[in-house]
Amino acid sequence: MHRFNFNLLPEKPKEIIVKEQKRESTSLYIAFMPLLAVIVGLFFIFLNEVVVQSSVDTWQNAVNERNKKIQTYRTNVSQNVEFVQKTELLSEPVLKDVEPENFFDLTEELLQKLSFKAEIQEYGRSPDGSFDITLEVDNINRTGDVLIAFESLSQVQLPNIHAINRDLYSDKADISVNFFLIEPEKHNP
Amino acid sequence: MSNDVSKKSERIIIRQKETKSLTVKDMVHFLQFNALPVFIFIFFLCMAFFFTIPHIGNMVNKLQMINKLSEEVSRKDKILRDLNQLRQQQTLDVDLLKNIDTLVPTESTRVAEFKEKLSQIASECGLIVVSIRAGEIIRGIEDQPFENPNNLPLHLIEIPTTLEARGQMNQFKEFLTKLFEAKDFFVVEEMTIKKSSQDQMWLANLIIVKYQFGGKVTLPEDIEPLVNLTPVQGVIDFINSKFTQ
Repeated sequence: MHRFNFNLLPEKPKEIIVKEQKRESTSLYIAFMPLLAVIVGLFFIFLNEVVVQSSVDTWQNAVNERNKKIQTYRTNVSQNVEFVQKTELLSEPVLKDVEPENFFDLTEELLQKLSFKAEIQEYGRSPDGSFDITLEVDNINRTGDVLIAFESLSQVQLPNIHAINRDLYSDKADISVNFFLIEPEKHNP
Repeated sequence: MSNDVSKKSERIIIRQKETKSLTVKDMVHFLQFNALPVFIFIFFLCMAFFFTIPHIGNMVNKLQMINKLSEEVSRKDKILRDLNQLRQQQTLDVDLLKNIDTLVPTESTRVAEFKEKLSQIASECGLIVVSIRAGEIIRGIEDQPFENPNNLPLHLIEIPTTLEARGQMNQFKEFLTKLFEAKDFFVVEEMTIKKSSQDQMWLANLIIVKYQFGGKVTLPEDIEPLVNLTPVQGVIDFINSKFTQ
């Protein structure tokens, strides 16, 4: 069968043909964009689920494993907390602890340092940890010498005279000195 | 003449109308012509915003999570090293812990026991015990409200024993020295040893405080913040120097 190949329609203007070609190429490029979006999306899904998620799981397992390990030390931590709390609770009483021997030795040393006669009338200790010694001296003018003697003792800290009682019928006086005692080997907690 | 002018103006109006209708026509034509690419571009934007970008965001979040988890692992490794060190240290501190438990016991009240001991040592030293009484003061939980006394946190119980005695000064010195030699931890909280005006005897009023631990340690679920607690070194030095042979 013979076939005639001709177009009876009027020929399109050149301007329209160029425009159509341009549109077609643009359409082609634009048609790839959703495809690209899907491919990129799928790539990230794959990356998330296969690579990243498995890595997250590995790290999470590592954390869980360490948490379990840490819990096995619970008894040790409990012992340590108990130890720490006990030392904290004892820190204040420890500061107040002074061996009586030190205190009595100190009084002996003090009496030797004095160039005049003095007699101890009272030994005392206050709840704040300080010590008291009441000395009987033959003259009230000895007060300064007593304080100087206390200050010359290296173990004595903050000596102060807190009471002086004078005998009305003689020159004798009772001088009460308050001070803190430092034990040389004791560390400050 | 006037007829000519009106015809001209009519022609102009028709041309203007034709121009206007052409522009609208062109617009419709343009839309029909580019409908597919515009639709595809909008579809692309939807895909990008609702599919691709959320997955990228998800991955960034997961990467950040990995970073955090790796930091967490390093932190926990350090805690484990510290715990290991703590376990080793505890094996070295066994004697010290035993010493503390002996000096300041954690058990039922020892009031009567301590009172008995003081009375006995005083008598051994030749002192005349005028009176002796004991009590209990709980320290360390004053500010903490508690409902059940069985669940008290660790606290210090002071057992102050008030002793009134008479004797010679050297007997008091011996009494106090013997108390300290007994390898027991106590503090002479208050003391008055006064010379009697009538005879050569000395009168003493002593408040001697013995300590005892009460309550118990309760750990929270998360023990990590408690790993690096350190004991008070001064107390350790004191116990080591005074009570460890």
